Amino acid sequence: MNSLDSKRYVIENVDALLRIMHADPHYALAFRNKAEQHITLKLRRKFFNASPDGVLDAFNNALMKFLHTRTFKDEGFKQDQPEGGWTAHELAVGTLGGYLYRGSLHELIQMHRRTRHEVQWTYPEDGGEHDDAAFDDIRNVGDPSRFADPAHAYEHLSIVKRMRECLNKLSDTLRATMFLYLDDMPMEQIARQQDLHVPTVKSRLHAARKLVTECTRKGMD
Amino acid sequence: MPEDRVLSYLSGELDAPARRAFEAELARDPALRAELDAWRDLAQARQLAHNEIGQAERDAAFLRALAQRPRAVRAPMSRARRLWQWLWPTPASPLMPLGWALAIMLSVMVVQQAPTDAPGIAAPDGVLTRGGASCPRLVVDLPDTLTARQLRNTLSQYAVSIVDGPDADGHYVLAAARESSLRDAAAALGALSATAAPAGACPKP
Repeated sequence: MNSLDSKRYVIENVDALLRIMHADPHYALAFRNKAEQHITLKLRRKFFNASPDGVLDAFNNALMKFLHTRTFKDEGFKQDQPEGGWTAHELAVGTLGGYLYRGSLHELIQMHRRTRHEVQWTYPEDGGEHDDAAFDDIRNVGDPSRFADPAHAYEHLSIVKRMRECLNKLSDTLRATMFLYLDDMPMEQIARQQDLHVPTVKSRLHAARKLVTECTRKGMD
Repeated sequence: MPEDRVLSYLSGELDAPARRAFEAELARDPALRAELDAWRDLAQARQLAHNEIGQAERDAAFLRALAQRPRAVRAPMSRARRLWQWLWPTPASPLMPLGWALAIMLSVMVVQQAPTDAPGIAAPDGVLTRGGASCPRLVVDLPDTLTARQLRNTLSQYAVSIVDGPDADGHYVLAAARESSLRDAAAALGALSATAAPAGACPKP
């Protein structure tokens, strides 16, 4: 974390936050970019079969709604505010980040309902049945996942960044198949597009994953 | 193959019974959970790469939205506060003081130029001045045969007024906007004598 990230502001409410971000665009963008990274990665982990575009749109819609409605409660800023105020990074991964995560989740579910009624989503971690419930209780929007622990989050982000580099080192054929699968394309459609059989698609995906896992392990050792 | 089921499970292609069976197996098998986690990490890596596309545009849109954020709802203002806000809206333009100074200066000039009915300033004899100008006057000696009706009609015809008289010698002072009107009126009235007098305040129309 550099000195820019650690700049602190005492924030009492949403109006104060918006004034500060308007006056300090570096702080505003540090907050936005960290929140985008934090929240989209969390969403993508939770909903594997969501498109990267959809996840990104969900976050940005939630962020814009927050700017317009400013419905976040003042207690969210006051509770646990560090001495000297909040850094942009702390805001993004703290209660406000949790609130935006809930909003993004709501947007993603709404998008999914509009476009893909026929596909059942998987809710791998905590069911997700209540994810689009009201966001009233500040205490409930904290981050209970592995991202809440800064050390663990940093370590996990390092692994993910390394994986991104390793994905780019795959051969063209493996990388193309892998990207289509990770971009939410059904395997049958990938097979048709690449003129392959579905078992071949699966074989390529397994091979690609093993190569990336091995590459990541080497890079982290 | 369990690996194939991981792929189908993640992409939502398993039907409900197969999904439940897979989740039961997942709860028992740490290796299967590790593989599932590895795939989710891969999805995150792909998301991370995707987030870098168009980030500058999203940043710019965010800053624009910040600049256009709706203003906080204000408490109702008192009447005096509203008047002050009307006179001096905020944020004030740097030219605002200059504008007000110009408006005040023009107002003073208009007031100075305007006619006034203030008792101490009004011209004597119920006459008005026009922008500070004066009207020519003529002292005339009217014949005794002149009737009141002839006098009234002639004065009205030439737009001439009697502003003073008769004095001890029976002379009247006539005033008009133009010198020629005075002379014509004096001739029409058959004045026995006509002598120019110092110009004075103009008569009321």
